[in-house]
Amino acid sequence: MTQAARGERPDQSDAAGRWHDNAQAASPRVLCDDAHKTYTTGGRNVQALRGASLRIDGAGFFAVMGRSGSGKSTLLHLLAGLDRPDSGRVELDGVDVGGLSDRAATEFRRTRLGIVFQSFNLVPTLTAEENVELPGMLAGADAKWLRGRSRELLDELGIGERHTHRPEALSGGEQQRVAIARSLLYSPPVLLADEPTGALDSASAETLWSLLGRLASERSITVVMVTHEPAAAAHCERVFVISDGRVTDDFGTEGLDAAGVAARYEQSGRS
Amino acid sequence: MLPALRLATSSLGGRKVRSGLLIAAVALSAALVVAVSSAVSSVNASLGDRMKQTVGVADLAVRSSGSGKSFGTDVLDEIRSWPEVARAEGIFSASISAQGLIEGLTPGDTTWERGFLEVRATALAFGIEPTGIDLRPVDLVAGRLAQAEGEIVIDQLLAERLSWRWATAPEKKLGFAVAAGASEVAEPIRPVPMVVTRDDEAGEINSRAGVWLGDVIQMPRLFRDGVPLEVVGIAAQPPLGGRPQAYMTVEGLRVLKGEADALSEVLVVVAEGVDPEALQMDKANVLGDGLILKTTEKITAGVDRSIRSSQLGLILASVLAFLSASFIVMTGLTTDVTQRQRELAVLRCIGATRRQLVVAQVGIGLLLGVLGAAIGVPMGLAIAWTLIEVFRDQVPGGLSVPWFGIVLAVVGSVGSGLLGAVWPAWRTGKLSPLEGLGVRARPATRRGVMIVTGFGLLGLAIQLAIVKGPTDGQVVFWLYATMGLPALFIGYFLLGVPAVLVVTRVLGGVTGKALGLPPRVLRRTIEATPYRHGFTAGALMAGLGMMVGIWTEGGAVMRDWLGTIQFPDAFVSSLFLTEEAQADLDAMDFVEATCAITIEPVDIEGFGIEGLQDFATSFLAFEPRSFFDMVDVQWVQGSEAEAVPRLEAGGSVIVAREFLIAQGLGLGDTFVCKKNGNSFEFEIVGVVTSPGIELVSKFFNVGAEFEQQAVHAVFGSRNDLKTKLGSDAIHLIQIDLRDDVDDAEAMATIREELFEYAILDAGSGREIRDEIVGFITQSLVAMSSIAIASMLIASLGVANLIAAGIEVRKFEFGVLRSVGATKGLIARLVLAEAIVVALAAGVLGSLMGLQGVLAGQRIYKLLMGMEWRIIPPWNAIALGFGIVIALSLIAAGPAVWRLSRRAPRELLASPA
Repeated sequence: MTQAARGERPDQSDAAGRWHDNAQAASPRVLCDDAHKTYTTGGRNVQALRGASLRIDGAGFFAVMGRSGSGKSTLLHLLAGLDRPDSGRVELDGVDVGGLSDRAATEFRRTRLGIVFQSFNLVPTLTAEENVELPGMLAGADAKWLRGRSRELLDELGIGERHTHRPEALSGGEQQRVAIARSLLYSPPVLLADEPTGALDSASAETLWSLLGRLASERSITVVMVTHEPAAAAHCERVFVISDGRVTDDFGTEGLDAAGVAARYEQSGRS
Repeated sequence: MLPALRLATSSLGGRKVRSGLLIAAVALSAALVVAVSSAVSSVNASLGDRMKQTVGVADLAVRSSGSGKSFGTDVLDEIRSWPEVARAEGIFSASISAQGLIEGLTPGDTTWERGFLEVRATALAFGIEPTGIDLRPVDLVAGRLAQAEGEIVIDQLLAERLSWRWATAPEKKLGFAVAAGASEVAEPIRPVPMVVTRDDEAGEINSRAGVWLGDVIQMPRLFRDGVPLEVVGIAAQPPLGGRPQAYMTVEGLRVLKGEADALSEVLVVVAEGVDPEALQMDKANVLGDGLILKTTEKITAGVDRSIRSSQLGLILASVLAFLSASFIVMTGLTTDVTQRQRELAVLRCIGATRRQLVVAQVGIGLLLGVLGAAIGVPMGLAIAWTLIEVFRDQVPGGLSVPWFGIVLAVVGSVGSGLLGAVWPAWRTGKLSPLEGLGVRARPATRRGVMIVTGFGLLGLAIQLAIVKGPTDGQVVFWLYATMGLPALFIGYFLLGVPAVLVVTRVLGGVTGKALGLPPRVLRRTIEATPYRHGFTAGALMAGLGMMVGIWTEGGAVMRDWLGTIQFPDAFVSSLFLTEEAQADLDAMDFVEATCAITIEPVDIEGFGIEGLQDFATSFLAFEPRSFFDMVDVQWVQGSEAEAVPRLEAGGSVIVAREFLIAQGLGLGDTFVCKKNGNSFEFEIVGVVTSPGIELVSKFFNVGAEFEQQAVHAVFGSRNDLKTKLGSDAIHLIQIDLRDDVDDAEAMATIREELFEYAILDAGSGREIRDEIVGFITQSLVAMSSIAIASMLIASLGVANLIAAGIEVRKFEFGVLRSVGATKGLIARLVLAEAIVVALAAGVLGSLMGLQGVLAGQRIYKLLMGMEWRIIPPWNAIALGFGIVIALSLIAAGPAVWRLSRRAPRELLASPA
């Protein structure tokens, strides 16, 4: 039975491109070094990233902020191993995700990475706890362990009593919590969130940002959230500004509220 | 594997309605296959029972080479002297007339009063000793076997003919009829009251009034006193109906017919360890000319071939039915994959491998197939059982469970589920997470449509090449069955995509306007997803194609084959007619001329499908001059003036036109036929269109029953048939009536006057033609019901398409509602899609049906020598269009109704 099947975070890899667990503290949690990526859309070449670079060394709650078309989602896709850079290097927890095969990248995402999207996170035909169990089920994990773990995570995120409900019976905020619980099944070192509160009301969004921040500190995980909202970024400890395919600035948010973040962001844009 | 199967089951379970529709499509296809195969198997089993009744447990049979002739008991003694023979029993058969007087109730002014009715019927009688009954089994339903000369057992058909009900029936069927209700023949209510006041009581008494056990019936004889016989038993009517039959002792029948020492057949059981085939070859020439020794296997071989050919037909029909189901599954699952792209992308993002998603998709197909089979097989058996119970008279053996058909249905169901899952599984495997997370709806490319169209046209080209290319009928048949027909089917299915686009361009405007839709909305909708709509149209077209093909061919058969046959005025037929019977006919004042005809099946090569079903030829013999004075045939080659003297001189024949078409045999060629292992050569002195006699002989089943199906005929002199093939019996007398006489009245008189000759059948040409046309029409209607069932199954695909389409476009509909579109407009838009799909299916189905008929036309010509024209059956096409449109609207109805009940907010709540 594999480590994932036993409920453990796998730490083996091989020379063919499977990931290694890098035990060296010097390796950053997230590294993007001079990444370039061009897409062809409607017959036109669109250069989404033009040498984006970003480094995050430890656990924490971080934002990548930019306008629409700035390349922030592309950056997130490269970090998640959903795509490969045309050039440059992308590493997550010491693993060169850009160099992984499709199979290896898939298995990497299963146990070493959590991903939360803006919408369509959950499989509509599964219950909340079944959705949480999904990565483990795909890994062939023990059903009893999965059930216990999913209940534990749902309880921790405050929606334990909704574990048998299908997504259609959950509010937007509750659905996102289920998605977060799923992403934490194997306690990954990194959690990527792509505009996770885009479809939520402000109160639910606030709750979710606080939750992500709490998880980052309590579990020592690196949460990278892509957002265009200053209010979201204000909950993070650091903001990376991306513009025209490059990370142009980064700043700490200590002492800044949403308005402060917005002003600082505008300042980055002018400089 | 397990995670993939869990994904599969959750996907199916989460979309119950749509999963149910797909399962239903597979199940109904399976049910159709099982029902048809069960019905065919049950009929074949009854056919087999009928054959077993003919030969029982015998290994060999001896019969006269001239059908209907008897031979002496010395033959039986000779056979019994052979050491290889364990048992031999003689059977004497002859036609008999029977009449009786029965009591019933006749209507008075206000009451019913007891009266008497003379009832009459003719029958085929078999003289069998009780010791030989296992060789010629009789299925008794009441009473016992005849054991003495003055006793008779009548079957239910004969009892039906000797009943009040039959005697007072306004219309009676001719020929090889099946008496519906014969199995309901029941003991009469006796004594019959003098007066009855209630109609229902009188009806009950009359419905049961008839000859029964213990009654004495009279057997009139020509020029002699009649013979009274006591009815001691009632036998079941033969499976699949037939002539009325009676059973007596051998001596009893001989006395009745005045033929001492006569036998018609000897049935032989060989001793243990003896090979019947070897004995047959050893003794074939020992019994002398005029007698044939055959193994009973050869006698039943025709039935076996018939069963094999029906199995082949079932396989072909099943392949088409399940291809159709797989198209529905494929369209449904592909729509599902499209709708779930983001869900599938998320699964990839969180760690599902391509392989797991592909296996899940295949698992869905497998589950659909298995569930479809689990529901469809019992449903099919239930449908078949119901049908067989309704027609229990004709199929007394009841339901015969066809393991072949069930295996075919199960394999077909699972296969159609798996086949339907292949394309969506491939698409799922190709899906990249980014692609799935991105834009969901990608417009169809022109290139994609062109590729699909190209492959579709290729399928049609393959079919045409097979039909038009080879010149050997056998090659054409087998190539068509294995490649041509599937290629045609798949080709038209693929052409569904361009078809919906063309129909939308041509008729979309009119349809949209008729339904009050804004301009171009319908067209944009269809053009956005042409594959979904096109493949659904492809699945829907199959049934219509079948119906068009059936009615085109049926119409051609009736018009170009039956329509060209000039039936003579009237016929009478029996087992063995006499010259006295002919003389009596000639003496009737409304009879202008008669002609005696002898019919003998002969073996030739060339008609039919090798190894599967071959057709014998009938040698029809007559007095040439008097025959051609009576009939009006078209001379394709030769002339009457030249041919008749040659026929009279002997050594010559005239052949039917089909010989020229199928085998190239014409004027001056040598015609070779075989009988009892001997070959006979004749010179062909003319080629003619059919005078209808061979059809009449088939209709009246003159000659050996079911042994071989004779379709075509050669015509020669009776003298030739007697000297060369040893047959001089009169089986048919052709009658020319005066022009001013009513044929129905004339036939009634003929039946009455010739009753004592035990005529088995008599009918006018008009009656025969009407019966045949009625039979063909009924067959077409029955086959059309299968086509309609196929359309019904395909309409489930339409339901799935509409439901899926609504689901995918929920947000779009929400936006439309919020900017002012009414519920009715949204509903009409969706219904318009269903109409466009139905119209496209109608066009495709009509074209496919007509192109399919091209193959039928060629195969009939090459294998059977029949030529007919293709004329589109516009009525059937119009009806088919109406049916597909109606079914599509009905199928779309529930989803549209549900959509119209949803509030705009609810529609908008689902993200784009």
